[in-house]
Amino acid sequence: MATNLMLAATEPADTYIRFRDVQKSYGAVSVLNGISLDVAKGEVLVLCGPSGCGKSTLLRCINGLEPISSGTISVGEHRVDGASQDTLQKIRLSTGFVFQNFNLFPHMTALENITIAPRKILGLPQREAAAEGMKLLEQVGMAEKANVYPFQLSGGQRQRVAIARALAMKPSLMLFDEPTSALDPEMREEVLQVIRQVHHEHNMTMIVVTHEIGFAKSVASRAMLLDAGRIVEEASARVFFEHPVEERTRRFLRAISNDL
Amino acid sequence: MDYKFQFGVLTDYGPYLAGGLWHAWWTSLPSIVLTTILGVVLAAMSMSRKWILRGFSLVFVDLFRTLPVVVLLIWIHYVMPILTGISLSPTMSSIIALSLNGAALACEAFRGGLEAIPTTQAQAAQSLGFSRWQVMRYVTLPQAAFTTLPSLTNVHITVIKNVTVTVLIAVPEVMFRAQELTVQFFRPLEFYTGAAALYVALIWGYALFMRSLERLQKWQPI
Repeated sequence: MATNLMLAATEPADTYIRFRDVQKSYGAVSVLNGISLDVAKGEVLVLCGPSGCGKSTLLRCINGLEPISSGTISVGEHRVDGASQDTLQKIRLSTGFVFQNFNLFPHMTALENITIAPRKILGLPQREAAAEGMKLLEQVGMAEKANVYPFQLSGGQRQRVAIARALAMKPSLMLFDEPTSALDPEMREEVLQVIRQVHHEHNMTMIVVTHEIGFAKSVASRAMLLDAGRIVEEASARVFFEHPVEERTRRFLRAISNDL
Repeated sequence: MDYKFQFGVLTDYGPYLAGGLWHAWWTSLPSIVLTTILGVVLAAMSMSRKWILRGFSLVFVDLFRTLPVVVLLIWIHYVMPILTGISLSPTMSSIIALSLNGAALACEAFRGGLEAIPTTQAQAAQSLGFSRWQVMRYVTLPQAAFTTLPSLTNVHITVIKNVTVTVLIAVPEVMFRAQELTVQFFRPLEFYTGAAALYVALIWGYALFMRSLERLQKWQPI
């Protein structure tokens, strides 16, 4: 109780995402171990951590792809835990999700991938949806591939289309789950560039799971290390990457920079 | 072997025999359509979160997959009228029996196709805000339709072949006419061989048509 009161007192006024003591386990395996976290509107949070640390799960709990075991999560004015299908749908409408493996719809062209949700969910007329879709494809540098099917695109191109697909719903929050880790090194930069641009143009709240330090430093307002389902360290991006306090964070940052 | 082939009878009665194809086709086609629609609905139900829908689908499939078509057909045509007072034309009864049997088979085909679509597809669609029904309608079913085509063709072929059992309730399709002519002219070999050729031609043509649908797929799975 006391901690709850304290947290309530220190909460920033414009909190958009709020985790309170979130636990998540798959049977006996515990993935998230009491995560409390606030993300303010317009903030860009970078999540790092070794594989299996729970960072993807944390992201997937935000839009309700994974139900949590205990604790509370809220996004905007909606509670995610225990939400009805309708509420979940509302949360997802304002939350874009970009997957590690793109997950484009293979039976639709790049443009159809982008227009299907605005047309079928928001009821936008075909022509209008296509015009807006083309604008988005231009933004991500994929206009000339509008009528191409995903199997004909490279990984980087697929991810750029996937980002445009998420943007088409005009979300106020974007979640990126390791958007570049399935890509060849040369393709990573083209995707990171698009994410940077999205950040600058829309000034959107973003949570990015990534190990791209350069990118994280240039875009993130805050960074966080997750290990074994707990937040190990949380700091402004600069402090986190340049002067981490925790030994665990230093070890992790050393390991990923050795990787490159 | 002192049977003397007289395929000449087919020049006289071939057209009448072949006319049975008309009935065979108009029994098959509605059955194929109903089989497919029911199969999709049952497959969707089998993946529902509501246990009552899942249960219905399970019972339906197990019942009509195990009921022999002949038993089903006779039951619908001769027993149902006793119970309900509604008697159907032979063609109507046949369409219902063949569709119920076919739907159970088609459901299994579609379910296999749907289950082969990676769950990440549904997650991507849900993340965009699609409802569970819309995910099925726009994302998983259209993909499964193509992967299911070859096994669906097999189900349809089974349905067409099953039309031959309607001879039992006197639908005037090819087998019925072959029987009719044989009794009249004592030429079983000629008429039944003719019937075989006609069914092979019908089913082969249908399979070709379905193969051509497979070529409509412009995309590839990734």
